Amino acid sequence: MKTQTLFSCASPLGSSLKIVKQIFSAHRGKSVQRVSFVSGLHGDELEGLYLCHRLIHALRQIQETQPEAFQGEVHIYPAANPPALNHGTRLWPVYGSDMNRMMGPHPGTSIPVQWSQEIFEDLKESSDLVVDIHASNLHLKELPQIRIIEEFSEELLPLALQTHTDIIWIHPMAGVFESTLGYNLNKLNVPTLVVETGICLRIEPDFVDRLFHGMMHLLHHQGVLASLPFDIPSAPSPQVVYPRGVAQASAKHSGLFVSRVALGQRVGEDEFIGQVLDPVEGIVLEEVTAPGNGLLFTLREQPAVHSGTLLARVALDREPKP
Amino acid sequence: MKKEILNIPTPFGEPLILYKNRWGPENGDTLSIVSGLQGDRLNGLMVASRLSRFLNDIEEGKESSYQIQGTIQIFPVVNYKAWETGNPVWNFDSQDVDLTFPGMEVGELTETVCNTVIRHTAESVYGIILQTGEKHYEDAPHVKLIDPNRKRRNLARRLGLHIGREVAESSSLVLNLAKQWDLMGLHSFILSAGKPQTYHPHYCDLLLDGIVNFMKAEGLLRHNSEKVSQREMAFFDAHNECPVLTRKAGLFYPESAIGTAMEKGDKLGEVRDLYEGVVLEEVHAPEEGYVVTLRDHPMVHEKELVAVLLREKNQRWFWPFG
Repeated sequence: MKTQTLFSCASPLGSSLKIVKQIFSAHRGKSVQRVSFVSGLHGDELEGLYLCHRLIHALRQIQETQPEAFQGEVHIYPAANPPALNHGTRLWPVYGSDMNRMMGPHPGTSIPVQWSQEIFEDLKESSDLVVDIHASNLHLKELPQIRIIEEFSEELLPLALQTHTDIIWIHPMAGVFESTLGYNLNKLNVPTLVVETGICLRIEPDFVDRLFHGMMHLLHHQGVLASLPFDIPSAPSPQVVYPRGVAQASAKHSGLFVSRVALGQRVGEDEFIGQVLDPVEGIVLEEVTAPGNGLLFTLREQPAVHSGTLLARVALDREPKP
Repeated sequence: MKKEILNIPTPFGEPLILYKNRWGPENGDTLSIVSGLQGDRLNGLMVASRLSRFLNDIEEGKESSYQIQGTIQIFPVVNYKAWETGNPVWNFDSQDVDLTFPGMEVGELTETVCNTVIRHTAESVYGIILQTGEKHYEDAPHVKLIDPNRKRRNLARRLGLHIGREVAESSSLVLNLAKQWDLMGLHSFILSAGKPQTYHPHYCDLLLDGIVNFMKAEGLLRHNSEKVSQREMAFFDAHNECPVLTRKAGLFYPESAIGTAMEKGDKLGEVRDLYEGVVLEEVHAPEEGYVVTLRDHPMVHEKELVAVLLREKNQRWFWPFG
């Protein structure tokens, strides 16, 4: 494993900011495929850091015991936004900038912009496939899933299937994606899978275990690893859902949402999943029910909700008829 | 007059209510003015308030030489929750409102707020957004334009600020209110002056004077005797901006001022060591230019942006001829 510093700048306080990536090279020099993993673009999303740790740990072991297994290259950027990670914030401190809204063509020369552009360019130049790992925000908890914008689904779905995540969600394009890492790399024909899992500021070891196994399978399928370690289990096939295959429940009232289901549970249409409560008057404002039959793959964790707030998403067993 | 445009109950107390002020006929050409997209941009808020009083005075006959002829709407506060905390964004979702347009009619609170503004301004002909420099920067008063064709540059000239500047294309621009207005066919202008967290009366006078002049020029407002003043404006394309970065990290002491013209080599400031106070670097203008933006926060990293110069040699003048 080789450690490379991509970008650094001195801080007025005396230390410096650095982007570090770990490189595992092909055993015989010529790489069949270059796969990159990046995590921590948002500094409060820690699931990806743990996944990177698992990958680096496992790949180091393989390199020590079976170096010939490396037929391709792996690049891992475990902490893409160290200033925000150090402060446990989603956004870059001091500026309040979102690094995942500064990818692709972007003017400006603030440190976060320079930093984002540096990572973007490096990924573009050194990857045949990228996995961009995110946790959810403070509000929602997610089953391990890969999200694919519809226009890229033909190329990305076969790759995503190799990762054995619980859900692969193919969703429509929206303006918010135009400045993200995943969208811009895919636009430049660098296939990029965007992983969402868990919730920010926490680690769900079970989720990361599943993702770790899935990513090892991906490396194997891609020919980067000639073989898999014996302790990587085979994994079930993901459920693929298309835009009409996802139903969501939103709050109709503002109050406290208390859920009565568990993430990953199968639910039936109109099944009770929780309540929105008025804590001041002590009344139940709303009984929340499942919007369809299927797998509950998103669930509200932050209880304070306004009317319109997303409470749950269900991957439907059957798409509704148009 | 003051009109409620959004009323959403909150989980624990008083509802969140957004207002707009409105004057003039129902079906006239409409100018929409928006301030308070971020919760720390005071100049816009003050201008909106003063302008509202002025228009109320006209309506009540206290400014008898003026008549309102077009439709004028003012939206003083958009990110209500951020204003409650004095931060640019609401800490609950860390979402920059000006990266959330067009929002959603039913969605998370910030999305709903943005969509409300979009729906209430969609039929306008002109849109003005009141802004300051970005966090930690001060802007000389100027007007920013999206897609600055000849008609828009001429319109911008009527706003009375001497500097016009093109908004550079970026991957996240589509999430800005100004760009959404542009896509809906409005002529949109961003007036920027001063810095966050600071009320600057002189800049507010300039903005107020400029907006009143614009309204007179476009027939939204009529004065019995005063003519519309035609003012010159130097306009700068996006590629004519010269960012100035530090080479050292430390404390930046500016020795120049926004709104001044610099010769190549003129001193913009210096960077001193935080611990020992020694001068680490003198920062000079790399070329001739007008200082439109200057760093306000003294702590700077290496490669930090401390000033933006508009290159004088590439400016285009718009004289008061037509």
